[in-house]
Amino acid sequence: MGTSSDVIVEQPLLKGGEKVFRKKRWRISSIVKWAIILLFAALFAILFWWMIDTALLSNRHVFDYPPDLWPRVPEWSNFAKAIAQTNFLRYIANSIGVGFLIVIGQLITASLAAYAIARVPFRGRKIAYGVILSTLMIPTQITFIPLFLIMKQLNWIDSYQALIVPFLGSAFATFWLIQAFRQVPQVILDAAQIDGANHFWILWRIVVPLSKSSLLSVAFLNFVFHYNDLFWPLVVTQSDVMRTVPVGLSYLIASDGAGTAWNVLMASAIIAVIPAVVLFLFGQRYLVQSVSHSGLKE
Amino acid sequence: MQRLLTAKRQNTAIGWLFVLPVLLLLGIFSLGSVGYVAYLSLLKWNLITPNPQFIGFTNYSQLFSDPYFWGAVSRTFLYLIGTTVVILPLSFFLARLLQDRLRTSRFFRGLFFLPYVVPTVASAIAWSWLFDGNHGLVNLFLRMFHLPAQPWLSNPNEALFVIMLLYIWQFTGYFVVLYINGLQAVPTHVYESAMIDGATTWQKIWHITLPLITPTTFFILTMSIIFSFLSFDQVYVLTQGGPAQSTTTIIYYLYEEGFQFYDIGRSGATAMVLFIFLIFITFLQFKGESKWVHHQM
Repeated sequence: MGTSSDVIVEQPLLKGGEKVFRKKRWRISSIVKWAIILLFAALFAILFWWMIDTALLSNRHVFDYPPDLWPRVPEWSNFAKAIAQTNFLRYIANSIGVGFLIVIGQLITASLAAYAIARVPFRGRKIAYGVILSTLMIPTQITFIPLFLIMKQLNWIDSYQALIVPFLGSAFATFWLIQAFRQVPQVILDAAQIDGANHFWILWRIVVPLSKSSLLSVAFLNFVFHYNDLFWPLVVTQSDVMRTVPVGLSYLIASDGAGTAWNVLMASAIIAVIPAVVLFLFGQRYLVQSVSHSGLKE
Repeated sequence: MQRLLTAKRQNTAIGWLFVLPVLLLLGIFSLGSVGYVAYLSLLKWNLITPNPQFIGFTNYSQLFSDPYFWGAVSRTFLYLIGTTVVILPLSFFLARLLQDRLRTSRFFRGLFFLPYVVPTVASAIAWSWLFDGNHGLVNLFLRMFHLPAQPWLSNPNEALFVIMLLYIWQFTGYFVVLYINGLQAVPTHVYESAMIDGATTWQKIWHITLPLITPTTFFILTMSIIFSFLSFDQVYVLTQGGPAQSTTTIIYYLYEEGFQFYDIGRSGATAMVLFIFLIFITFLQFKGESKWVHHQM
């Protein structure tokens, strides 16, 4: 506390003075703060730059020392080579198609089940909910051996069915949509029911549109997972035309060995990343929402 | 009354009809497969011989006496601990910095999150170039400071470390998002009253923020354990478990036994061990969460 005279002089100014003081401190600490953030951001972004840089270097300059951090004459033909040397566009089409169909299937089965569990009082509802909850903890990777044998039995090895069908039911998606569908106000559903609407109509015309952002969040997150997944496509695909992007890429690096053409390889990797980044740019809000939602407790 | 009864019956029919597709799919491909893998773990079978042989728990006893398996287990824990002790504080730290809802904050949050979206195979390929023994950027950098270049991925003592770094690069942003969410849930009035009491920033973090976000920390810890135990793509692309088995983790061991040696029983037993461990971890999280949650006034 200051002396009494200070108080008298400063009192009328106290509020404004404090504001100025705080603002200044905020500025210094925020410069430090942003410097640290920038440092980490650069550290994280270096890989992307290194990929792009290498992909644009000509064969002659890939191994230059000191490294060419800014390709003066960008060698765009590396990308053409990357596409031409394998069935790369086919891999991308496979990945996008498979991911898309899985997600659509998951949304349909999950919406139906979630609606029933959240909104239709029926006998056995608790049991069904319990079964879905219990599968939430099963990581798919540990079931790949039995899944593989089932696919073999069905003669589905090296087919789109094998890439898609095992994932059409998602406990995670169902669980999430149950939470979302519970948020829809009962009055709206009651009103629709009085008007004689059936459950399909209510689900499709009322509940789904009202839960659009939850549906999109699940869709983005699961699409990313399946677009990126290597393990399962690696074990169930055999022919080149069935390969997904991760499988195709993994064969590229495995076959290259010692004489790796890093520039073309990086170009391939960048092409593989582009769909994911485009998706990220459009769906960032939903992706982030879905991740943060998964940490929320009821 | 009659109408009410039919409505009820109708509900039951509709309810089951709606739930059926998911139940069937999960029943076969998830729950059923766990049962199936439990059964397979009791067989001696290599896919080529027509008749699998029932051998009880022999696969488990063989697994537990296999030094390669224990090597894989210890490596998995090393990987888990090495990644988690870095990624937890780092993601908390970055989340604290990016906590406010500014546009620039969101931009950086997105940048840190981006590696999670990139296919692991693509980032692993870039990683193997980054850590290339001859011309990799990391070694060029070391040379610049007159430090000895390292063989990295071809050195049994360094390969796992490189994979850990990739994991940290990939998942930090994911956990930053979770932490930001946890931080934003802490009511501001708690901080305000601490400020009136003259608490310093560190005191506030230590005595208010950290205790209040323990549920988030627990959740992240569990996720990190699960993610690191299931890190298959990274190992497959970067090292294929080598050199000299130095990066064979449990999940990679499972892959080799099952899909390269076609030892279905052994691989199944490995899957069961992994499954039981992960269930145990999830259970711990569940328990710990209810114990550690701080109830706010």
